[in-house]
Amino acid sequence: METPDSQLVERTLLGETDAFGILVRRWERPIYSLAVRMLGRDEDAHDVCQETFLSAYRNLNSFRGEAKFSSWLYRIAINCCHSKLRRLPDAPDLSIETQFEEYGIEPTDARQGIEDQVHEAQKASHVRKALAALPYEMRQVIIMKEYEGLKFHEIAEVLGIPVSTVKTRLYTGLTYMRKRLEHLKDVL
Amino acid sequence: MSRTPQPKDCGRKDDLVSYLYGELTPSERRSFDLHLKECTSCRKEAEDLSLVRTAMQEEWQLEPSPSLVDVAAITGAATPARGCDRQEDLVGYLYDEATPEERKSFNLHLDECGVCRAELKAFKGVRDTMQDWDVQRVPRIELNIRPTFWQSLRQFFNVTPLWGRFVMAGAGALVLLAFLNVQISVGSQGVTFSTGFSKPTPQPVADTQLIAPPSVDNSTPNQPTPVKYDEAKIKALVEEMVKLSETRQEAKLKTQLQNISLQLQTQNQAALVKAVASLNKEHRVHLLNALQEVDRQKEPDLLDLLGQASSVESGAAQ
Repeated sequence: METPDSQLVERTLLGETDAFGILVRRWERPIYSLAVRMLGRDEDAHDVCQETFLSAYRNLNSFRGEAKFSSWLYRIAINCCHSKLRRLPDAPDLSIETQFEEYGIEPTDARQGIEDQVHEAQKASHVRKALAALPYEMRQVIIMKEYEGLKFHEIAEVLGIPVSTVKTRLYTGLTYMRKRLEHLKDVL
Repeated sequence: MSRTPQPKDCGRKDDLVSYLYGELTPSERRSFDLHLKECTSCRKEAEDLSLVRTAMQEEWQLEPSPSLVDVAAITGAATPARGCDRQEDLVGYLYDEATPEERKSFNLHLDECGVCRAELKAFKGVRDTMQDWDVQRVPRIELNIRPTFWQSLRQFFNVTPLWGRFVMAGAGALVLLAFLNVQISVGSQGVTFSTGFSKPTPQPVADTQLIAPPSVDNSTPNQPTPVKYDEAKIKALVEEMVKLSETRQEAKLKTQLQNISLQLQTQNQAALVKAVASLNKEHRVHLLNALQEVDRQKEPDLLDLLGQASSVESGAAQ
């Protein structure tokens, strides 16, 4: 049976640094995927991921255990993403061409034909582009709900906003994504 | 860049911009609609700006920014009217977070509301499309964690056996006591415990210092001046004290003697009562007479005195 997060936190606070290593292994994927979707660049996401876990380790004493450890970690990650975005000199160029040049085609199943792979990669890029064009507040809600699978109340807890605001932002964000993706579908 | 014509100053230019970008509240919007009917310059300005915006969107193939379309959504305010105000229920239903009652209610609503039905279908499509972006490459996060001093200390304690912890705790306590200059002494008054943070330990003083006469500071008038005693005075004082002691001793002895004599009298009286009780009637009468005789000799009554006085007078007359 998997050791609960709270128990690993306690063990870390007692000086067992290996326990924190388990927490890192457990949560590095969700935090990284959140960061990469928020920032759009692998390098920035990697930096933010490291910052998040280091900050969590340094401030582990302030974790009261009232909220879930994951919610607390997501809040730190969101703050780190926000700081990173403010530090970036310019907003990243989110054109499809630039993204292909910079990130390449996302690896997909080798059994797929090259045409399918290109098509999948293009679709992913459109989604990435549409998300990147969303205002920060809507983007973070959509990412946390759609990709991280957090509940409405968990998102509200992470962001410190009411559940109704989470739903409103999600609705507006989906409306915009719908328009944007329909438009891009026409282009394809 | 084309320059937009300046309207005559009707004082509602800010409202016009907000109106065009859909950032007015419903009441402000109604008020501005009424204003547009009356104000030709604002109407003209609104038409020109709308044309510019349309041209810009077509040229750059951009959707109007959602931040301008719906700032209210970010702040959590109500979204603009769309013919149905159940957006939040729709989102809860879409993500399967509605309660059974809410779900039932929204199912009924979907039968009637075409807007929600269309949106629900579209949003499901959006969600499917969004899943196309999958993050597959996740780099391993390597943290160079340096534990803090306290964390290292805790870890050290955790791996130390119990006896080792006791020894360390004892040593620590001793160091602390030494630092606080704690002194524990056992003397005639029992166990004495004293502390003095960084106070130097008092050094024992020499005997000569103890008997040396204290220096008197004349500058302090309130201090009592010491009395000087010579040998004669000391002798007189000693004699006086001896006398006083003797007097007290005598008084004490007198009191003791009185007590003893009282005790003896009481004992004699008791012995006499006992002896009298043992006599018969004839002896008691004899004894009574003898005692009366004795008393008379000791304390003569008035008749005897008168008899003596008359005999003295007759002798003088002769």
